[in-house]
Amino acid sequence: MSILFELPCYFNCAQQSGYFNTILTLVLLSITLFALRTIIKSPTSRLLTFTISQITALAALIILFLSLTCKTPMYAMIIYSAYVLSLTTLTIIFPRFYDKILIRHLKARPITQLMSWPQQFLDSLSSNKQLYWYDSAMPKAFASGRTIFLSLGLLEVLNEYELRAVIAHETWHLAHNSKTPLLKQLSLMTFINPRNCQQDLEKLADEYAARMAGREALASAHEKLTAL
Amino acid sequence: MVKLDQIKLSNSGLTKFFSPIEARIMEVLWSEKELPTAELTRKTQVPLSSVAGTLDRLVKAGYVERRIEKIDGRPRYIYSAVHTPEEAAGEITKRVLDNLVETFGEVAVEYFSKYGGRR
Repeated sequence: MSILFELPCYFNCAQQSGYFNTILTLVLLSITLFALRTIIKSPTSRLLTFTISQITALAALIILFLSLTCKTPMYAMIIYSAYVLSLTTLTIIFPRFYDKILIRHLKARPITQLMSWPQQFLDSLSSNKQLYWYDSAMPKAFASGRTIFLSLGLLEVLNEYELRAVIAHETWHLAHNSKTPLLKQLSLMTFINPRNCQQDLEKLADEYAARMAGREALASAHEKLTAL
Repeated sequence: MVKLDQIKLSNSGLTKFFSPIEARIMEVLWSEKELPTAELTRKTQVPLSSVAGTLDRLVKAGYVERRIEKIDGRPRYIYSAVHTPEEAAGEITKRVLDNLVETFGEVAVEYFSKYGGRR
């Protein structure tokens, strides 16, 4: 309950601090940018607008935090700081070893065991990435760290051209993995659903796949996988 | 039985112990020696989306085994049943009886001997 009682105090403190107008402007700017996203067509500018809107919201929070001079202990702020700190640690450390956990958990093995062209294709797109397959009949592909995972079920269902499209799509995700955790972290910090940018990321990955593997191959891979 | 380890006494035939899709897959695999995935979906007339997950489950439960073979340079699963229908029936019976004895003890054993005598 005491946390709820703190909130009016924050409001009063902020109003007296002289930064109130700055905070208000930043919050309004953030909301406007967030709303603006819905009219923007290009996924890249949408993501950019999303990121700026998040950073603005975060800046508002930080200024609010610095301007507060409440006498009582600020539990809400302490909890939030702890939340951000653990979140940052997780998003920085987690992706570094998660693919290794997945490899062990799925008993995944290098795709070169089965065929050589997919790894060669991946190497031509991006260096230092590896392609693994795992034992499951359910057609599925995903990427983590430096590894792309394909289920054997997927290798059964898709032909070579469609597989290229899927590999290229996942490669885009891997190549931008260093940036996307930032997006996720920002949205977790400002309590906004990261799904808001997920669609744009998928669209960009598809655009890349269409360039690298052909629009038709991508379309037929999509068609096959959504039919399932 | 495989799906949730549940027995549905009101169902008929194999679906007492298997889900309907599991039962259809087992029947097809018992009638053929080995089948690739595409053939299996064609013969069971179950779409791949339902067959794939069920097959993973049956493999994990030890009723079905699969190996990977390269056909035209592409990897393919080849499925086969681990047990004959009789062996599977034996295993299911044993599991059910074990559970009956575990739950009802002497009463269950007594009934089994009566049941044997009646036959």
